[in-house]
Amino acid sequence: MAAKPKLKYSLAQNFVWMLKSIREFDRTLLTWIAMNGVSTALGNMVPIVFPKLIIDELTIGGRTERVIFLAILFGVMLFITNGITGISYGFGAIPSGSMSIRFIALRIKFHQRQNLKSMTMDFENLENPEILDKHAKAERAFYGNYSGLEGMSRQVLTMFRSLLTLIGTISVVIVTGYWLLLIAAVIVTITSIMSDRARIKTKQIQDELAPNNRKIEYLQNMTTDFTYGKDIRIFGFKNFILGKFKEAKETDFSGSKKIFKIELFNSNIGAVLTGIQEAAVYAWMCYKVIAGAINIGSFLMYVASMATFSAAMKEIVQGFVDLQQQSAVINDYREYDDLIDTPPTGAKPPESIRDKGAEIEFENVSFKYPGSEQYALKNVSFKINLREKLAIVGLNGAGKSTFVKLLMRLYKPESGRILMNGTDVQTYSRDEYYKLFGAVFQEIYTFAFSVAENISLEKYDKTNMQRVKETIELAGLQDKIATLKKGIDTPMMKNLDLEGVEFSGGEMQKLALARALYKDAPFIVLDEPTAALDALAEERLYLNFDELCKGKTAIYISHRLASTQFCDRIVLFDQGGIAECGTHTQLLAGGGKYAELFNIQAQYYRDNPESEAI
Amino acid sequence: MDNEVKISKQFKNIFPCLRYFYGIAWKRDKSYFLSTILEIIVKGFTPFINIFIPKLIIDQLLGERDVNILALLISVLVLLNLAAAGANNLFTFLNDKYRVKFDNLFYEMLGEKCMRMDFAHTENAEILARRQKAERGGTDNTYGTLYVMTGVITALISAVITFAGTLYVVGRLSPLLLAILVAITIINMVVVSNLSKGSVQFYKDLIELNRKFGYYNWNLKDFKYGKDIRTYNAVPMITEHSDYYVNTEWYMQRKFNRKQNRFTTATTFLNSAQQALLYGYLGIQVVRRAITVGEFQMLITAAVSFATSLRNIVENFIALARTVEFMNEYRLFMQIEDTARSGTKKAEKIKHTIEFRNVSFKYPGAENYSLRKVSIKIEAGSKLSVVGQNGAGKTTFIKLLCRLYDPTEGEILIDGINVLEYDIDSYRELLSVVFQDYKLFAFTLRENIVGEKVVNKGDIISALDKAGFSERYEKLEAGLNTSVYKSFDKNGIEFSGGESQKIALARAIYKNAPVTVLDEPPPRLTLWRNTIFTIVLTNLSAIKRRFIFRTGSQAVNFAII
Repeated sequence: MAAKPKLKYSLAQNFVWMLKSIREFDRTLLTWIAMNGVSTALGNMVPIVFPKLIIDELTIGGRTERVIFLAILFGVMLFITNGITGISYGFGAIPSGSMSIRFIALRIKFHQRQNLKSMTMDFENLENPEILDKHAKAERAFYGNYSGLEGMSRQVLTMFRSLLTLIGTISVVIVTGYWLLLIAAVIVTITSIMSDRARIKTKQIQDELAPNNRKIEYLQNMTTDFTYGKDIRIFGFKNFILGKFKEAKETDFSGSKKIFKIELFNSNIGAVLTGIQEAAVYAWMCYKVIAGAINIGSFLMYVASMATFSAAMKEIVQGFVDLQQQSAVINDYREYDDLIDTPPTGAKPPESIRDKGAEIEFENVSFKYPGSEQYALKNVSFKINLREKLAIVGLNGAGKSTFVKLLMRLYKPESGRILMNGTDVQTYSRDEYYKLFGAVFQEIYTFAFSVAENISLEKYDKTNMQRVKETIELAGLQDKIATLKKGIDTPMMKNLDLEGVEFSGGEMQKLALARALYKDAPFIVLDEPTAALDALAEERLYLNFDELCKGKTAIYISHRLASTQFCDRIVLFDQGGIAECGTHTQLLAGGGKYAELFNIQAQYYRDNPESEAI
Repeated sequence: MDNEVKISKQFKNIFPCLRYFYGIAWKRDKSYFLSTILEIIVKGFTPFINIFIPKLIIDQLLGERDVNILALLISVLVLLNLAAAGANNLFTFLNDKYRVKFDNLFYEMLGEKCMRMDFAHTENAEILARRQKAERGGTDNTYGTLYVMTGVITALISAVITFAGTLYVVGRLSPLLLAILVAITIINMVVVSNLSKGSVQFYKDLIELNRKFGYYNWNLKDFKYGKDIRTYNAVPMITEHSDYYVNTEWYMQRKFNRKQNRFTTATTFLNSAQQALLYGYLGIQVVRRAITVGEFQMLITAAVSFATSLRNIVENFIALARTVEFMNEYRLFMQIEDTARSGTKKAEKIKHTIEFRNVSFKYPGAENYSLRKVSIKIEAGSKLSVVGQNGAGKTTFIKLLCRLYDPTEGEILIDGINVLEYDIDSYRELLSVVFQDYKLFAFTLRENIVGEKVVNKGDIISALDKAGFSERYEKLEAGLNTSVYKSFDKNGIEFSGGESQKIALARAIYKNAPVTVLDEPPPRLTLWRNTIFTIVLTNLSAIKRRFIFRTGSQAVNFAII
C-alpha cells in the first residue's frame, strides 16, 4: 500500500475519545452496550450447548420428563437471550431496538454540537481554503449510521459481542481440539488478508474508473434531463450523446468485470479453505467418537462451535479494518475541530456606543485574504465621523467590501488597528460587537422560516411583530406581503414547507433592508443594496435614505457613482487603498479618478437614456 | 382494506412486467436464462446436503463405525458443500455481470426514449414526475431492476423447491410436526405483517422529518449563511427550531420503538417456542424409539429449513409484487406514445417562405391560449425581429416554428406546404436556434459545435469568429479541444455567460441552416449576412439597449407580439 499520511490521533486515542463522547452525550448507552454484548454472546452459545444436552440424554436411553424439561429450558434460554438482544439492539439490516435509536440520537447530538461550533467560529475561517478543505473531510463523521462517532460505537459493539462469543466457543472446544481452533484462526487470517488485498485492488480499479463514473452520471443526467431537450433535438445530438454514453458504459463494464473476477477468485479460495476446515473438523471429531473420547452430543456441539468460532473470529479481524477506517474519519473530524476551537472573548462595548454611536478610525490597516498573496487593503487610514452618511465607491476588487468586512470584524486586520471612540475594536467581545451593526450584504440569504423570523432573525415567540410590520413599511415590502395569504407568518423557501414562498431579487433586497432596520443598530452598512431593485424602488430608497438612517452612522457601498450623491462624503477606493475622498462636487471639481469614472458612466447614460447600466 | 386493493393491483402488473423485461433480456442474451435456471436449481437443493449427510454420519457413528464409509461420507459432505459454495460464487459473479450489463441497457433505452419523445412531453409536469419514477423503477437497484426482480424470483422458486423437499422429508416421518410448524410460521408472519403496517407510516413520517431535520443539519451549515448568522446572531433561533425537530424525532422513534419491541418479543417467543417444541417433540419420538438419533438430527435441520422456506415463499412473493410496482413505472414510461405528427417529405435546405396561418396554441393542460390567431408571412431571406413583454408568446412562437409543439389550431406552411407533412428530422435541418436557455455540454469545444461529425477545422473557427468568439479563442491553449466546464477535465474552462452564449451562437452559425432564430441574443451582435432568414426575439423592456446591434444594409422588420 502507498505510504499513508500520518494521522494526528491513533486508533487507541480515538477509542478513548469515543468512550468519552458517549459518556458525555448518553451515559446509559455504555450500559446498553455491555448488556447487549453479553446477551448476544449467550444467545450464540445456547443453541450450541442445549442440543448437546438433549442428545446426550437421548443417547443414554432418555427419560421423557428430562427431555421435556431440557427442551423447555432450551426455549426459555433462547427467549431470554434473543429477547434481550432483540429489544436492545434489534436484528437484521436496519436494527431499530432501544439502543439503536440511542446510537442515532448520539450522532444527532454530536452533529448539532458541531454545527453550533461551525456557526459561531470566527468568520474568517469560512473563507480559509485550508479550513474549508478540512471541514469537507470532517463532514464524513456525520454521514450516517456507519460513520464517525456513531459508526465507531456500533463497530465497537459488534466486536465486543464477537469477542465474548469467541471466548465462549474457545472454552468449549479447546480441550478436545485446540489445533482445530488454530487451523480455523489461520484460515480466517488468510481470508482476511486476502480480502484486504482484494479491497485495495478493487479500490484501485474503482479509482481508475471514478472519472468515467462521473462522466456516466453526467451523461445519464443529461439524457434524462429535459432542459437539454431543445438543443438535443434541434442540433440532432441524440445519437452523439448515446454513443458517448455507450462508450463510457463499456469502459465501466470492463472495469467492473475485473472487480467481479477478483471477488469470484477470493470467494472461491474462501470456499476451499472452509472446505478444508470442515473436513478437518468432521474427521477429527469422528475419530474422537470412534476412539470413545466423546459422545455423539459433543460431536454435534463441537461441529457447531467451530462454525460459530470462525464467524466470530472473522468479525473481529475484519472489524479491526473497519475500526481503522472509522478512526481515520474521526481523526479528520478532530483535526478540524482542533483548528476552530477558539472561543471568542472580550469586553462588552460601552452602552453609550449602542445609544449614541461612535467615531471609527482605521489606523494604517492592511489585510490580505488567507491563501492570497496580494493585499486586498494596504495601509488604509481613515476616519468615519459620528453619525455620518458615508458612500464608498470604486471598481470591482478595489477593496470596498473588504473594508466593510474588517470594520464589522468578519476579518481581523493583518496589521494596523480599527478604533471605535479610541478603543481597539478587537478588545470587545465579538458577538457583542456584532450587535452594533445592521447590514445588507450583497448576497442575500433567507432561512426556511417565516417572513417575520427572516426579518427579526429571532424565533417567532421572541419576535416583535409590530416592529417587523414597521420595518416592512420602511423597506417598501408591504405590497408583496399583502399578496401573501398568511402575511408575515408565511414561511419562506420550500425546504421545510412546500407552501413556502420564494422572493424575487428585488424583494430579497427589501427584505434584507427590513432586517437591517429591525435590528436598530447604531451603524448601518448597505453593500450594493439597489442592484436588483427596479428604478422606482431605487429612487424611493434614495429619497428615504435620510429617514431610514436617522441618528445612525450609515455606510453605503456602490459601484455606480451617480447613486451616492445623497451621502455626506464619498470615498473612492482604488487598488486596495483610498484614492480620493470628499463630497460629490468636490471630487468632480478635483478632476481625479472619480471625475474620470463619473464621466465614463455618465456618457453611457446619455447614449442610452433609458437603458440600465451593464 | 385499502391495502388489499393495492396488493391485487400490484399482482395485476406482475405478468406484463415479466413479459416486458424478460422479453428485452431474451432478445439480448439468452445465456441469462440458462444461468438463472441453474441458480434456482442449485439454491433449491443446497439445504438437503446438510439435512441428509450429517444424518448418515451420525448413523454410522452410532452403528457400525466403518471408517471407510465415514471417510466417504465426510468427503461427499465437504465436496458437495464446496461445490454448492463454488456454484454460488459463480452465480454471484454472473449476476453482477448481467446486472451491470442490463442496467446499462435499460438506462440507455430510457435516455434514448427521453431524447426522442415528443418535446411537448418534456415540458409536461406529469411526464417529468413519471420520468423520475421510471428511472427509479427500471435503473435503480434499491427499487427495482431486472437484477432485483430476478433475485426475487430466484429466491422464490428455490424456496418452493426446498419447501416441497422438506415437506416430503418431515411429512413422511412426522406429519404432526408439519402442522405445528405451519401454524407457528403463519402466526409469525401475521405478527410481522402487523408490524410492517405501522412501520410503513412510521418510515414515511420519518423521511419527511429527516428531510426537514436535514435542512438544519446540512443546508444551514453551508457557509454562505455565515455572515448573516453571525452578524445577526441567528444562532438561538436556528438552535431552537432545530431542537424542536430533534425532540420530535426522538419522541417518534421512541414511540415506534416501544411498539416494535412488543413485536420483537412476540416473534422471539414464537421462534423459541418452535425450537422447544421441535426438540421436545422429536426427543420424545426418539425416547419412544419411533425415530433414531440420526433421524432426530435430520428432522431438526429439515424442519428449520421447512419453516424458513415457507416464510421465504411468502416474503419473496410480496417482494416481487412491490418490485414490480416500481418497475411498472418504467414499462409505462417507455410506452408513452408520441402524438406529434411527422410526415414523409424531405425538406430541402434552401430558401423558404414561412407562413403562420391563423395559428393558435395552448400548452397541454393550460386554460389559456399562449398564442391566438397568429398570422404572419415571412419572406425568404428577410430578417424579422419579434419583440414583446415577458410571457407575450415570443418563445412559444419559436417553439411552434421548430415543431417542438404542434399548433392547437391553424397551420404553419413553408412554401405553401404544411410543415407537418415533412419528416421531422429533415425539417429540423432547416433551423439553427440559439434558445434563451441554451445548453452547452461538458464535452470539447469542437463537440459542442459539431457533435461527433468529422469536419474541417477552418469551418468551426470561422463560425466561432462570426459569433464574436475569436478573441477568446486565441487565448485557449487547447484550441478546439478545450473542454467546456471542469466536470471531467481539470483544465476545462468555465466560460462566462456571455462567452457561453457565443459558443452556442457558433453552434447555430456552424449549422448554416436556412432559418436562424436567436432568442435574446447578446447586445452589439453583428448579424451575419449569409443567413437567409433570421428571427430575433427581444424583451420589450430591454429594447432600447438591445437595438444597438448593427444589422448591415438590410432592414429589420418588427413584429410585436
